[in-house]
Order: sequence, then C-alpha cells, then structure tokens
Amino acid sequence: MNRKTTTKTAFIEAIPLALAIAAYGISYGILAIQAGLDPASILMMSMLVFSGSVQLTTVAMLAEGAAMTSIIATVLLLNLRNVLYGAALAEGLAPAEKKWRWLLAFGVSDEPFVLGSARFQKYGPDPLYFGIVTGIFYLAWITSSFFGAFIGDQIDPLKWGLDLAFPITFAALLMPSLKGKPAIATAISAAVMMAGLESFLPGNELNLIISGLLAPFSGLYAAKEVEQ
Amino acid sequence: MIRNWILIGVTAAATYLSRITGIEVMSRRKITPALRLYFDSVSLSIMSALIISQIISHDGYAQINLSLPALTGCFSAAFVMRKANHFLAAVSVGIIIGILTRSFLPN
Repeated sequence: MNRKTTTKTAFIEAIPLALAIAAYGISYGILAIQAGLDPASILMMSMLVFSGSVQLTTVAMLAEGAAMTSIIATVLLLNLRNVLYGAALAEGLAPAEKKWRWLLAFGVSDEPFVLGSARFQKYGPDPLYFGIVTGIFYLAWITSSFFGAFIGDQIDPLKWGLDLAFPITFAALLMPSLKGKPAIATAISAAVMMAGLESFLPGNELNLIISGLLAPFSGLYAAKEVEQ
Repeated sequence: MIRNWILIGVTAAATYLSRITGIEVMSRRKITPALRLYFDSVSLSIMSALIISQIISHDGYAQINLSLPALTGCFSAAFVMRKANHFLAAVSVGIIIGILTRSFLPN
C-alpha cells in the first residue's frame, strides 16, 4: 500500500475515534478546572502525558486532595498496560529508525494500539500509519482539553452519542480479525473474563491487564487443537 | 502550583517510560511463531475487554449496569461490518442505533 493510500486510510479510520477522544478531552478540561488546575497546566499535561485514563484519574485524585505519592502509584498501575501494548506493537514499528520509534512510542495507548495492531495484522509493519493516527489523536486531545477548560460544561457528550464512539469503533475494528477458531476463542475468553472480573472487582484497573494477558492462552490452545 | 508542575512532570515521565519499555525491549528480540500468535491474540483480547468495559458500568460498589445504547450500537456496527465490510458505515450505523436506543429505551 502506498503512502497516499496509507494516509487516506489512517484518516478514515482515526476520525471517528478522534471525535470520541475529543469528547473525553472536553471532560478532562472541565474536570481539571474544577480540580483547581490553571489552563496552562491543563494544556501542558495533555501535551506531555497524552493519556486520557492517566490524566482524568490524576485530576480526579487532585480534586479529592489525594497525596502525590498515591497519585503517582495509581499512575504507575494505570500505565502497566502500555508495556503490553508496546510489546505487541514493537514488530509493527520496528522498520522505523530509532529516533522515530522513540517519537512514535508517545502514541502507545488504547486507541492508537487498537488501530495500529489491527493494521499490522492485516498489512504487516506500518510505522507511517501509526504516526498519522497518533498525530490525529494528539491534536484532538490537546485542542479538546484546552477547549474544555474554557467552555465549561456547555456541551453534553451523551446527547451527541460521543460516549458511544469508543465501543462501537472497537466493535467495527474487531470484526475483520475474528477469523478462525483461535481468534474467536481469544475474543470470547477476554469478554467473559472481563465481565467476570468487573462483577467481582468493579472498576479495578488490573481487570483489563489480566484479561489481556490470560485470554490469548485460550487462542493458543485452540490453535494447537486446530493443528492436531 | 509548583506541586502541580512536578506532578505533571513525573506523570509524563512515568507514562512515557511505560510506553518505550515495551517497544524497545521487544524490538531487540526474535519473535517466535508462538510468541507472535500470543501478541496477535493480545490485541484481540484487549479490544474485546475494552468493548466489555465500555458496555458494562458499575456504581463503584457491586452493582453492574448494562449500557443498552452501547450494546445495540456495538451489535449493529459488528453486523454492518460483517455484511458490508465498510468501516465508516459500520461506525455511523452503530452510533445512530445507539442514540436511538438511548432515546427510546430507558437504561
């Protein structure tokens, strides 16, 4: 696939998620103002951290008056899954020079991971695609969080269905990958595991990591069965 | 004020380190077919788990709620994707169905 087609595909696939990210960004901006952060800090945090879960959790804890050590401990826990994402994306980003790879590493988070890994599975390594979607998400995130800090709570993401964009986009991305018993076994195991863990440990950040790490073993088992 | 800037700096450093660690450690290693299948499956499992985490919500204690708009939206998007294999159409239909569900069905 040439650069022009890659760029076009990256835009088409990233825009729906960028809208959802913008909805989160606005929420973050509003919450951060309420937590007592000034607009410069809000913008700087979005530019340097670029992580919705980390930033929203940090400002929520700041608003509750949490100690810096407990905020940092929570951030470390939240970031555990990035190691997993990075490991899964490593091969797809390997063709890029080290300096570009270190820059692209900035995009290792939920949404670029979902798009990037789906792309790499279909077409092989593609750092350009990953860079474009990360850039789109980065712009959406910093502009919306800054915007959120200024407009307050005048936009209702629920009314426009922006909160639905995440699961629906993920569902659309998941479907083409559900081919063969190993893939289906993995997806079902992860869904069941996540639902079970959420029932017993609601809202636990480790639920996603545990499901993500363990469910693939059912896929490996199914692959072994298919081979035999 | 300074506390916030320190916190932003530490958070940014911790987040970036977690991102680069996975990429750099794994890029130096030869990936076996089994490991490749595992990592391919990790992306599937994370995606599935993320969808479930968005469909179900909790009240912070033990009460689990199912988001009907998210559920119907996901099923519609998956159906369109399976039948038409068109990403934008799938997402658009999914969001419209989700909004309609939210409008007409109490959650």
